[in-house]
Amino acid sequence: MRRADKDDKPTVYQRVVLKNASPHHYMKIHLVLQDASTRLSAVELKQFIITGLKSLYGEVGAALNFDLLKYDEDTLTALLRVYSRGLVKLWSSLTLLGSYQNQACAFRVLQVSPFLLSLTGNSRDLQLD
Amino acid sequence: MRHRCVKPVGNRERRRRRQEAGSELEFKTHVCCCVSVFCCCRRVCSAKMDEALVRTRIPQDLEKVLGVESQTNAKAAAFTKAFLKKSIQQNSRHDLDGMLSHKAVILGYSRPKKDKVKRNSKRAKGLNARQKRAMKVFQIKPEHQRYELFLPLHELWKQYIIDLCNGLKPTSSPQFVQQKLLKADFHGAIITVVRSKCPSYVGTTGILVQEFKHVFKIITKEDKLKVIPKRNSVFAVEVNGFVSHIYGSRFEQRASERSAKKFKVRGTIDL
Amino acid sequence: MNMSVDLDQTPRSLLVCDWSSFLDDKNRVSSQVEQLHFNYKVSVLLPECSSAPAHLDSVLNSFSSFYLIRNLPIHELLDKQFLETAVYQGSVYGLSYRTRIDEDNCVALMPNGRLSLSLDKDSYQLLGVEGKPSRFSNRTNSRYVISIDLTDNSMAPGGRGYLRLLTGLMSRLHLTTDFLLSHHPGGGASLQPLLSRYDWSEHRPELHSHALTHLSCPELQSCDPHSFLEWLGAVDADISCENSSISFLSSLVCPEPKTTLSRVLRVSICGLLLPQDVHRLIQEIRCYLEQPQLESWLSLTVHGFVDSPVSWGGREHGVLRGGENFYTLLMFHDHTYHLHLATGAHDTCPP
Repeated sequence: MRRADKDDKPTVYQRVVLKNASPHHYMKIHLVLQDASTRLSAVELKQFIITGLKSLYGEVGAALNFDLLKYDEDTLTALLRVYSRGLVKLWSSLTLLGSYQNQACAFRVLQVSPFLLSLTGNSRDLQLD
Repeated sequence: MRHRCVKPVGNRERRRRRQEAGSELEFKTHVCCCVSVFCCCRRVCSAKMDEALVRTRIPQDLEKVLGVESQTNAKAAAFTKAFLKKSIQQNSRHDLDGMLSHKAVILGYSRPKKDKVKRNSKRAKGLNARQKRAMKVFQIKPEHQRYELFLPLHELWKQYIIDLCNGLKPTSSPQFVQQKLLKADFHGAIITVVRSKCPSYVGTTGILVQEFKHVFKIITKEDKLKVIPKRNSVFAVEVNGFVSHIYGSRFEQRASERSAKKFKVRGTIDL
Repeated sequence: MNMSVDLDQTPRSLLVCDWSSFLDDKNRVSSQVEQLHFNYKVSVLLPECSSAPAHLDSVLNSFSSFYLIRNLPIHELLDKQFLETAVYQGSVYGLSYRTRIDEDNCVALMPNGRLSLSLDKDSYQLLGVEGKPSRFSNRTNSRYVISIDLTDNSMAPGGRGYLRLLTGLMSRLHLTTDFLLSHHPGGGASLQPLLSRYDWSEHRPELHSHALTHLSCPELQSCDPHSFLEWLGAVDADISCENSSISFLSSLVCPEPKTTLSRVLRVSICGLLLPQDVHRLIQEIRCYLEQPQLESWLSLTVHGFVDSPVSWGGREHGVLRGGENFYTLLMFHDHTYHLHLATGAHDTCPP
């Protein structure tokens, strides 16, 4: 976390440039299951991700705090929030998570951003057909 | 005119006196020379005199004047001989005794070198690279740099390629044509740069006039002679509907050496 | 341990926070708004409102429509008639649709007449027009950017540069993409000659509004930028901020100190939006804020296109993990504002 450039003038004008200063990172993920009709609840999903963290990083890794901000059960898409320090750990454990209750599964990471606001304004969602 | 063989060292006064003496005898007064000066006198003397006069002793009063001392005949002869021997070069050629008794000893033996059999002495030796550059053999003069002049060459090349590939039918297999083209000569082909790391080369088309190790020299329709490096470019050659792409980076050999080179098979080539 | 240090690192992101006032002569909001050429989404948060005020509504509905051309060959953008009627008069905004900046070839036509092509290595080597490797490529240059000024003398129809680019696009590299096009101020009329030759469709920007009740809201004047943006994102994405500290699922809370708003209206509009329309909206919002009302602030967020080759002012833009380039303008009734401009890894600093 760093602060660069502080322009302080006698008037009200002030400009601050913050580089890599966001405390959290946000991920938009989509779970793809072999059996497309399986449904998970929010709690089950979070527990599933925690088991993934545990298998890759052990108990200390499983203690990584992340939040399931929003979950859509029908489409199995979720918004996660994690501390910036733990982004790589969470992402790598999502990548390597391969099976859920004896069926193959995969996590698709749709978007990652240090700003939650940008997850709502992704132009790749623009559908004009 | 009085002749002198040696520059007189002696006294000027003496010479004057000699002259006053009236004799036409001229002699050099050598420092180490004794009275018997008759040899030099013989050579240099312009006066005509008898031999007897030469061998006589110098008169007493003349001795006093000259400051010399006459020697006896025997001594004079010995001196003269010694002096002659010292001053005249011994010519070994006249040393017949020594030559007859001389024995030659062979110290080493070597066969005299035979002149190398000149193979093809009539063949032209050829020029080395420096001479070629000096003579500008490989440079095309500006008046010859016209596209129309090279079109017959292109027709010739097309015929050559068609013959090489046993008639370029649409049914010929690409592998066969490729093998033949790898060893073929491209002088006279119309080549186009299709892809290149340097964007300004892309699109240049022309007849290939010279192929060097690292560059192609082509002449474009606008009668411009362009030099295009082979590296990092892909060239397209078209014959009768067969379009071949040449990856220039792998083609960097002289045209003459390429016919002997084996090319490895590679999956994909990136520029 | 060394490994844990590497695992902590994330791609670089920049957040520029400007605090100033509209009344200050040196404020640069208008230039900052103008410079983001390609806007995808504008979302407005109106506190204590259940329905949009009339003026704002009319402005939102009067955003210019844009056109989508299917399979447009890019050399058509160099067509003489198009250049004369559209590019040289007014400003044309054009962007290739459904092309990903990190995978495919992308094309952008900026209002100042600059055409920017972001090509992958093979396409660049085929095209044969001078360009530069991308600023954000690693040691191996896999992406090249060609930037051409169509108003320049050498690019006049018939000029050398023009012919080279035209032959390149027509014969060597057949670049064809779906294209979003918009023109200011002429609208569709100046684009008609180009549109008529291809399969085109006109689209109006989509308007959505949503009313929320009982929303907790932080103290805006003193809130730190990241928490504010997080709260705003939560409101935009319908994420609940009421989580108890012992909740298993989420611990996202509204930043303290907070107040409660009884109703909040969220309006969003999506499409190819012109900066001039955004500017008009900002002016309208300022007028609205001058009226006396319950809450004295209003927030406006503008998102740029993720796959656009250019960001603010023609600067190169790329996608590493997420191609965010957006700005949020939080306006108060006393004409002061907080402006936050955010970019991702493959971007330079916003203006």
